[in-house]
Amino acid sequence: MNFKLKIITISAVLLAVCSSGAMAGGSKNNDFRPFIEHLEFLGYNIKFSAKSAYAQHPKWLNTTVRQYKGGFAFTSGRYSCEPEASKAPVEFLELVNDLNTIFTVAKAITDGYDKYCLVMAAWYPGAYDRNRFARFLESWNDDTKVKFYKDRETLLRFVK
Amino acid sequence: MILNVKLMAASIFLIIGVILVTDLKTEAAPPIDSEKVANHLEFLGYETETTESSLKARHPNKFTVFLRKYDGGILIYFYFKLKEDAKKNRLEYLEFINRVNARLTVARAIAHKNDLLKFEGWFPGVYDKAYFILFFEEWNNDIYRNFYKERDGIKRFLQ
Repeated sequence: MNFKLKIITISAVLLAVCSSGAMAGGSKNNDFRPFIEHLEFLGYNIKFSAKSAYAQHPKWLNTTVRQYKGGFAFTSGRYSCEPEASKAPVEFLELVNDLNTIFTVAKAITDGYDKYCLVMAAWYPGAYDRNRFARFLESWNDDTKVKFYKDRETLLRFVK
Repeated sequence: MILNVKLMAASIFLIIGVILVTDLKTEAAPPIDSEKVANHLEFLGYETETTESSLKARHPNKFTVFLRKYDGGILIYFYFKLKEDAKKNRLEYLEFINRVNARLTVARAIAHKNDLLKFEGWFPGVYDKAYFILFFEEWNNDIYRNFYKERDGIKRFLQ
């Protein structure tokens, strides 16, 4: 009887650990959870992979979130370039530089028109704090949506 | 006559608008809780000076940085002057900046006004010791470690 109880207890504990791990996006660190809850509260649909969470939103750009260097890295981007990007590389890199000039928290980079066209990244320092994360997310969304499309005509000349 | 006045008024508004837009990041004030930020930096060996527009922090072995209130957080930045090579070879210079940015975590490098390379980073929200420690540690890591991995470009393009 005691043996059966032990087995059941161990199974229950294992199940609880596994399910909480899944909720935290496979992350061993529970610090990830409040970030996800915050995003879900704002209407993001979260899909988890082994080391990151993919956050989709009907209004804002889809974003990948992962733990990085004692904080959280956010990345988002457009993965295909128009042929014009390699034909007019100075103008394309000027566009990337213009984005970096107007951005608040995000950083725009290109990999040389090959693997991905234009990626935006930002880093949130430290653990979750509701107000600080709200400020961060507001700037991230403003950068990756509003400022990103500010010069839509030039953008669409280079990026699909 | 009325048309001319309207045209002049429209031009003045346009000029003011352009100035406001182009100076969006430079028209600013010192960070909220500037004294706390200054105190933090002084513990790291900086000498600080608060002016009407920014908090300036000098260090004997590090770059002088400026900190300003910006977009609900703190903007930290400083500049490098360019060599002629950067002005003559725009493509290679912009590719260098892109490579630098790919290495950075919290800072970003920007070609600024044809003769400067600007580094900046944004701290979200008001000063908090624990968060600012992490942010500034990563800022220093970006500037003094990650950036210097692009040694050839630094020698070629920056003064």
